[in-house]
Amino acid sequence: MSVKSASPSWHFAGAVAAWLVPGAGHLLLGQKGRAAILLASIGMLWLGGFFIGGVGVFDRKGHPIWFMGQMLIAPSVVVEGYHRSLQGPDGLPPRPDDTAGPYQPSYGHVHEQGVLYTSLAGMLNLLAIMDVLYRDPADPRHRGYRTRGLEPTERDAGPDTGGGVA
Amino acid sequence: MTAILGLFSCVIAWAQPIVLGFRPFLDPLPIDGYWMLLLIPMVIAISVVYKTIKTDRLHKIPREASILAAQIVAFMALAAAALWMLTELV
Repeated sequence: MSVKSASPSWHFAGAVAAWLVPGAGHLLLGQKGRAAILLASIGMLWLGGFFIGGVGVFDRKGHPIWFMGQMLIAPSVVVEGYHRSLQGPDGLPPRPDDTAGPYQPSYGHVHEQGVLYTSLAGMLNLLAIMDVLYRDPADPRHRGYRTRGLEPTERDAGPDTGGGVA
Repeated sequence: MTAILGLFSCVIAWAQPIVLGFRPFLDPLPIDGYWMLLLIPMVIAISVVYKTIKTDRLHKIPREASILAAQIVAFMALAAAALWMLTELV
C-alpha cells in the first residue's frame, strides 16, 4: 500500500475521545503503544489521587480553580456530581467524626495530595488532547497515524513509533 | 514458617486500624505522615506522560523518562535546600 502525502489535520473526535478516556485519542489514530502508556500513567495518577483523598477531592465549589484541572478528564465531572449527591440538603460535607456518613471528607496533606494528583492527571491529559488535536505528518512523532482514507505503511507505523496499525 | 506467620500477624496488627471500616474512594487514606513520598510517583507520571508525547520512538521512553524524573527530583531537592537555607540561616 502506498502512502499519499498528507497535510496537517485537526482531529476533533480524537480530542473528545482523549477527554473521555486518557489515551483513547491516540488509540483512534492508531497509536496503540502511546495510547496504552498514556492510559496507564494518567489513569493511575487520577485513580491514585481519587484513592488517596476519597470522593471529597472533587469539589467544584470548594476549590474551583483546581477543579478546572480535574475536569480535563471527563470522569472527574461524573465523580464531582456523585460527590454533590452525597452531601446533605444543606450542601455541607459530613462532619469528620461522623464515621457512618456517606463519605469522609479529607483534610490537610492527604486532601492536598488527592487534589494535586487528580488535577495534574487532568493537565497531563490536556497535553495528550493537544497532541491528538493537531497532527502534522512532517513531525516524526506523528508519522503513521490514521487519516481519512490514508493508512500508514508498516515502516511508518512500526512498533517504535507507537503506531502499530497493520 | 513461624517467622513468616509472625511477620504476617505483625503486618495485620499494623494495618488493622487503617483497613477496618475503610471504604475505598469514599474515605481518605490515613497517610498524612508519608505525604512527601507521594511526590515520587507523581514525578514519574509527569515524566512518562511528557516523554510519551514528545519522544518519536517508544523504546526511548524508559531511559528519557528516568532522566527527566531524576532531574525533577534533584531540582526539587535543590530548591528545598535553598529555601531552607533562606529561612533558617539568613
